Amino acid sequence: VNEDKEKEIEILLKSVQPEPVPPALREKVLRAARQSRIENRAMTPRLWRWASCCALVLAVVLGLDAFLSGKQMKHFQSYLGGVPLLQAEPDMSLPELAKDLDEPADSRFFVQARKQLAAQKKIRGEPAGSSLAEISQEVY
Amino acid sequence: MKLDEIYDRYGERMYHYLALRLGSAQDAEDVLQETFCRLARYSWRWSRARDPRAFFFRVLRNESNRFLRHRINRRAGDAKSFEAADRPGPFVDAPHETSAALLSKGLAQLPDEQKEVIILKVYQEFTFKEIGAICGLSINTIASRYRYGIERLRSWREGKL
Repeated sequence: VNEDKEKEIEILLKSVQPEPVPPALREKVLRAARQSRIENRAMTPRLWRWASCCALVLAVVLGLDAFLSGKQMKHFQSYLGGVPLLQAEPDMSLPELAKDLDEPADSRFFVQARKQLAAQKKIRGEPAGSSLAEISQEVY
Repeated sequence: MKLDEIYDRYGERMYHYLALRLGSAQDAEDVLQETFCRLARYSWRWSRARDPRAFFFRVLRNESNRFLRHRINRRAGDAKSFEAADRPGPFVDAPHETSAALLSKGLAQLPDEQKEVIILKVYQEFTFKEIGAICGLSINTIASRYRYGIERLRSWREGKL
């Protein structure tokens, strides 16, 4: 019985016809939608112009860079009598390089310390020679 | 699918859904326009939708919910906050004049969640599964809302409410 009554209600509801759509609504809605699409575009015509200009400038800069590098290379080659320039490649590992860089400073330090010690020993009347171990002991 | 095509296929149905749900032809026009503006802005989304009809109704539902929230906030504190419920809705006279008029009034006074399901089922002819997808709810919830709504309308009609 309930199902029949449900069906009856459904039929009655379906018989209630909603108002027809206003005829001008289609154009109004579509015009607003198109306008909204134009206004909310990620890339506006102005942005497109900017992006094109930037891309052009970037291409020109990269092209000029390549051109000038080539020209410079030829210029350097002319100093070497046309022999192509070789790429400098490190023939030592990084720790070795670091060691090489540290050594001069250490050497200078020890030379200076040795001189100071020799001067002090000369004042004290001792022999001037001193080993690395002695210098280290004196310094540290 | 272009916007014109979407309107030609679903525009009328969308308008009827809004007119019945919001109870005002003017509000329905505004919300339909806003929905199409949204669809125009996010065209890349609906071009990939598997079921375009359900997708458009989901967008429409979200937009009408937004409108209703805005309307409630605007009328907060106002005693006439549910003025729309008193309106019979944008209907034209039907053959079953008395019953139909009564039902249209009853439909306008139903709780929104029941009214929405009845509109989608009866007027838009969606299945419970499709309505569930549109509303983001389970089929059981949709079915019970529908039955409660129909039951209320029946009681309304019989003068029990």
